[in-house]
Amino acid sequence: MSSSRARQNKKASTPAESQNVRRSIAIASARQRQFEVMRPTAMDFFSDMDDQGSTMAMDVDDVDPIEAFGEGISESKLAGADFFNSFQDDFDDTDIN
Amino acid sequence: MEPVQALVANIQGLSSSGDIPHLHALLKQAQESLYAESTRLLPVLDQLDPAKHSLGYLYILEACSSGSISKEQASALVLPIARFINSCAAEQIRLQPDKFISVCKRFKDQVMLLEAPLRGVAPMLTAIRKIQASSEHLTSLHPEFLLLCLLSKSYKAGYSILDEDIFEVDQPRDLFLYCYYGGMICIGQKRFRKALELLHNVVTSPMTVVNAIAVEAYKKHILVSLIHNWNFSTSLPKYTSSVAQRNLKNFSQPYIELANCYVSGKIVDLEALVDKYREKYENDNNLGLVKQVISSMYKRNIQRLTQTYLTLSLQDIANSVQLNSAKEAEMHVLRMIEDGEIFATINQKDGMVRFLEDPEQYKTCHMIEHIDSSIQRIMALSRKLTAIDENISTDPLFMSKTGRERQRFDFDDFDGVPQKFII
Repeated sequence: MSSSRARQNKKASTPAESQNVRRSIAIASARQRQFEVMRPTAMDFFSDMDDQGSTMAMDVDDVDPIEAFGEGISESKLAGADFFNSFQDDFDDTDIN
Repeated sequence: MEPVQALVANIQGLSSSGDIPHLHALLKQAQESLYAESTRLLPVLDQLDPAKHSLGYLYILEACSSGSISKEQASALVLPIARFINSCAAEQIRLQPDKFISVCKRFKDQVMLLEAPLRGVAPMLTAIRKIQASSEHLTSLHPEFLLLCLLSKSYKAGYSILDEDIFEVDQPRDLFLYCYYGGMICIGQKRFRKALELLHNVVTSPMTVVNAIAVEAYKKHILVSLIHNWNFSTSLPKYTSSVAQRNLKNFSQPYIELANCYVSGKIVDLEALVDKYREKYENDNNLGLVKQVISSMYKRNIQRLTQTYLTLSLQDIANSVQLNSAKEAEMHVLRMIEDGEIFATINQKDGMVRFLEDPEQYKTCHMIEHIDSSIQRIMALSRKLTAIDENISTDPLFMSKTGRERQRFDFDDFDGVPQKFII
């Protein structure tokens, strides 16, 4: 951090140098923010390993409103339940024989 | 009706001169007035040729058939719509695909209202061929066509579109219904392997909420798997959505129990379970398939005997699989030999069955051609998959989403060792 602060305090004398300074400030700030984000991870490294979550991205399907209400939902209220499914033929071979 | 007559004159004139873009613009402007006159438009169609004036005919037909109609009105419309579908110019109706699909769907409703689904089978197949961009394109009319085939028991006609590989889908619901109805068509033709493939597609298709079509497909998938493979695995592939993984079994408990009981191989237990859930299977319209499951258990048990015995008497087979007589056992064994499910010979003199090895040596010309065509097909699919992957990778929507989810700075932007480390 001290090196980035040293870069912040140096005065720029030309437009190119000004641009370089601004870029350095931006990168230094980003490093600062990133390191601040990283700190909890560093601490977690020494905590209970069982608490480590999966490295997989959270599956949005995990938020399932059906299960949230315990009893479940009847088939007639499922999505797309209005499709036609009333066929006379139920594939009973004994009808043919 | 004066504006309508003027429109008819424009349709006739501009269609003849080939100025279809101008005609299309006029028809869009006249849309509201057509709907206003919808009840009196039917006679106007007599002034037009569906083959030459397809676009104009489509607009008027769509206005005629809008709104709810009675059985008598349906009866009057079915023939003009069928004629239009058969003779219309594909290049003209593709300028307004949503209207064409709308007219065809109403046509399906009308033949169902008239309880004559068979009248809709051929025109609907023609409609699909005219609106499809290619044979790889699944339209909204595919499931409508399969529905009519199921209602009219025209399984052969329905099967004609099921062999095509689909790579382009308009609406997800179309795919669900296409695969579900297609699976039923294949069940009707006893093409159980293809039925399993289609029902599997429904069950494993991406979904964010539990889909009723997937639930029904899963039930049939269980039954067809027992009939064809003589077993069923409750575990779904990894690529199945988590919603389906968690919920489908909850809606299919009587079928899961049937599958678990099937494994035991005891006919008596299976029949008792079917009696227990008979009403449920009947309400789901699956009792016929459940009866096929029971019949398949005899075949399963006979097939298992081939793994243990080289020869067995028909009476022993009957006793082992709980058939009533040696004659019944003979019927089952004969049928299984004809279907290629077992390899055996029956000596009718002494009532002995000799079980044989599979004679297939995999070195006939037919088998080599079969393997070669399978390899060619897999190579074509691989090329297709690569092309799809490239298209998705360069899709602006995909790139913007993955760009947002990525961190702004890569790992290389940071120092290798943190300057400050706090425990």
